[in-house]
Amino acid sequence: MLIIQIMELNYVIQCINLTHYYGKKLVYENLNINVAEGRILGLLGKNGAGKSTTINILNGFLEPRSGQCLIYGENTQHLSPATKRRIGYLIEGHVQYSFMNVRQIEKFYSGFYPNWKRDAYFNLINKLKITPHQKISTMSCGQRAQVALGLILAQDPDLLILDDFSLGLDPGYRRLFIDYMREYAKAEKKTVFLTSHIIQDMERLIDDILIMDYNRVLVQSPVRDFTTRFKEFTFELDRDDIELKDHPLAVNVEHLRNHYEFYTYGNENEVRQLLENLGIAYRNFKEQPMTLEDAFIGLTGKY
Amino acid sequence: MMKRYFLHLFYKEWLKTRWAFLGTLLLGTATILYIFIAVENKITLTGAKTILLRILYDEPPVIYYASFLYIPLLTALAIGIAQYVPEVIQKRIRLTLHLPEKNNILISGMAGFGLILLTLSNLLYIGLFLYYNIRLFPEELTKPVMISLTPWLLSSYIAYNFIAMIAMEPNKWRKVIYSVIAYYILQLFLVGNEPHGAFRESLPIMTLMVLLSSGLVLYSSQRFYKGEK
Repeated sequence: MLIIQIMELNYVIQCINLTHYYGKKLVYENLNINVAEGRILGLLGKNGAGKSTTINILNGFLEPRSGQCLIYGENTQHLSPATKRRIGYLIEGHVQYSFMNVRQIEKFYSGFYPNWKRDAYFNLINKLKITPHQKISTMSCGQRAQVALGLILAQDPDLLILDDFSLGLDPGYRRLFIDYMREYAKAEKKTVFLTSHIIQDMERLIDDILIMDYNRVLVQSPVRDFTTRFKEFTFELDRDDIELKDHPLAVNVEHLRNHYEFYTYGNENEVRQLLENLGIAYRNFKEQPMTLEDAFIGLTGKY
Repeated sequence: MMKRYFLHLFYKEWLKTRWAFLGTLLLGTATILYIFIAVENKITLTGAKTILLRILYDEPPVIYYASFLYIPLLTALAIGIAQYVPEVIQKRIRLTLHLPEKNNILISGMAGFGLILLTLSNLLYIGLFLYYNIRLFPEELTKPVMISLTPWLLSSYIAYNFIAMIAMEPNKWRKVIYSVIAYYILQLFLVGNEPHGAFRESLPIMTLMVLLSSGLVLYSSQRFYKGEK
């Protein structure tokens, strides 16, 4: 496990020794998460790794078995109205009040936020081919996402929690959403905690990465540190029954027949040395360039 | 003083419930008008004295307003379902609970709005009954009739409070249990063939039950916040 401490001390989100079970099934134990002010953190994990559990705890919709999450120093189970006002929340699937139209929903939310920025909402809405009286229930997923984003921009929160923001969006809307969000978060020094199933979206957006696997955190670090340190080497062996997974240098090893993919935090020399020490003949040894998605799959395995 | 955002919360609740509310209000008003048009026709055909004697002395008594029995309940069902069920199923309740106010206050605001709508509809029904009853019958009959109507009107609050509780409850088995309890409690309120004014003695306990049921939604909401399964 690699945990590189982020140097900033102003944590917006702190989860301390978080432990949760569903019945007797352990989700995770003593999980610690920190999100520093002004950073964009992406939470990644396979289905069932505990992403939704973490989001639910952060949003105060789930009480952990033990431990606690703090947002701006307050326990997420008992957030004050003032702290809630500082948090923008995007629900998975861009859920909104679908019985309202574009104007009604703006009017509704504006009453709750003293610094409501009406223009920010309508500037974004005006880019869409929808009328002010169009009901949200009649919109495409992409249009709904823009409405949800416009509402968050108008609320102008300090912290944004975006749960699977890319769900249901086509590539164009995803790109629009990401570019808007990145520019907004950086220009306004917002903190963002997000999850997405589409990792290539994350790559354009996030500063820090948190990768969860069943019951544990695999990585919590700046995304650049992770992609720089985590490497994939491929090579071919004479045999296809050699197990390398148990070696401390190996984070994960996949092989199809005699073609091996070796994932590691080590460098090329260390991997070559390992093979030579084991007396294994190899050929076509290469370091493969990896996207964040490749690295995620390399780290967590394909299944 | 009520905070300004409560008006915005009520605005949302109104957008959700207006057609259900107005629809059942129309149905209730039409039912009352139908009841008294039918009474007027009988008075014209058989005479006021015959009708009055039948209402007062027949065994079992003639409950000329019996078709109103389930109207308050129906109003509560329509408002409660429109207000809570889609919101919980489609997870929009999480948006509401994310609004910058304490969760219990937000839920109480939603429930308060529903109870205001029910009270408005009940007041309209009471007004219509009083108007026509006083117009067509001696004043002595009005009070017992209004007492007979009261449990039916109170049943709307019980039904509404249970719908809110059941909708917010995260565990499906508990939902079933609460539904069964609600059914049997409502049976106590919805008796349609007793003599006029028969429930005079029971009204205080029924009112107490209504008051107690108003806290139910907060109980299941607490379980919802904690993510109980």
